[in-house]
Amino acid sequence: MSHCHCVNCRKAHAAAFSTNLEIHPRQLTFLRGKDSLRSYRTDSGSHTAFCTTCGSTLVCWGDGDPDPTYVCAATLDTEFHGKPEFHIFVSGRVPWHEIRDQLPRFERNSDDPI
Amino acid sequence: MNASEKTLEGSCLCQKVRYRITGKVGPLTHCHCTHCRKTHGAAFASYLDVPRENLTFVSGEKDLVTYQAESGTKRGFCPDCGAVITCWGDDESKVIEIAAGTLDTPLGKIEAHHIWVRSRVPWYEIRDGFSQHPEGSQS
Ligand SMILES: [Zn+2]
Ligand SMILES: [Zn+2]
Repeated sequence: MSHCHCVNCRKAHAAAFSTNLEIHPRQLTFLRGKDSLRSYRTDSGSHTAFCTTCGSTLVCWGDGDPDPTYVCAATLDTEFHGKPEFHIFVSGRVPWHEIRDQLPRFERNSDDPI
Repeated sequence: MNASEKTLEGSCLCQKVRYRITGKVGPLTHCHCTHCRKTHGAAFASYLDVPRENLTFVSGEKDLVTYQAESGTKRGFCPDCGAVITCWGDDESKVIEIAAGTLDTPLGKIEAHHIWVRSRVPWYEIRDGFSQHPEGSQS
């Protein structure tokens, strides 16, 4: 689970940053509403899917993945006590919300330290 | 700084919806309510108070889809990329809220506060110095 500050996440979520829980596609089953989802692909090859009724962005994945590999943690109904492990794409951070925790920060991806 | 006065431009992820804000805006409200969390799919939403007369849509205004939450609060989002742009309670209100994450012009540092902190997610602690209200800003 990690916080992403990239511009695509910021815009898709219209929020300071997104928080994504990594999953294996096999772990995810839609109980209902899969047909109500619409996906959007950015030029950089990231995909997000949102509910066409309310606009909630629920899942995301990359070009190489046919199915979602991340669930947007904020959409969980079950109380979730996992903790984010790091921040990625901090180069895209908004000036109006500072990162004040001690988690590792990566300029871009987590395999690409500052 | 309590408010920003420069012209601010913003857009959704796919750029279908574009807007411009002139004049005084602010403050910034970080809302941790369940509806904001869900609509944005983010730990919290950040909305900038904007007088309606200071907001101009450059494109896409007619395309925005409105969803009304149980509380009566309405939010407008782009049908193509899902980005939430606007939030308002009362259609007659002179102020509308703009999702700050959609700004293209850097907003800079701005006075902010946190509301509905009692429904905050357990995995994100608020560590900035801004005031925290258990429910709305009057609480
Ligand atoms: Zn929905
Ligand atoms: Zn859009």
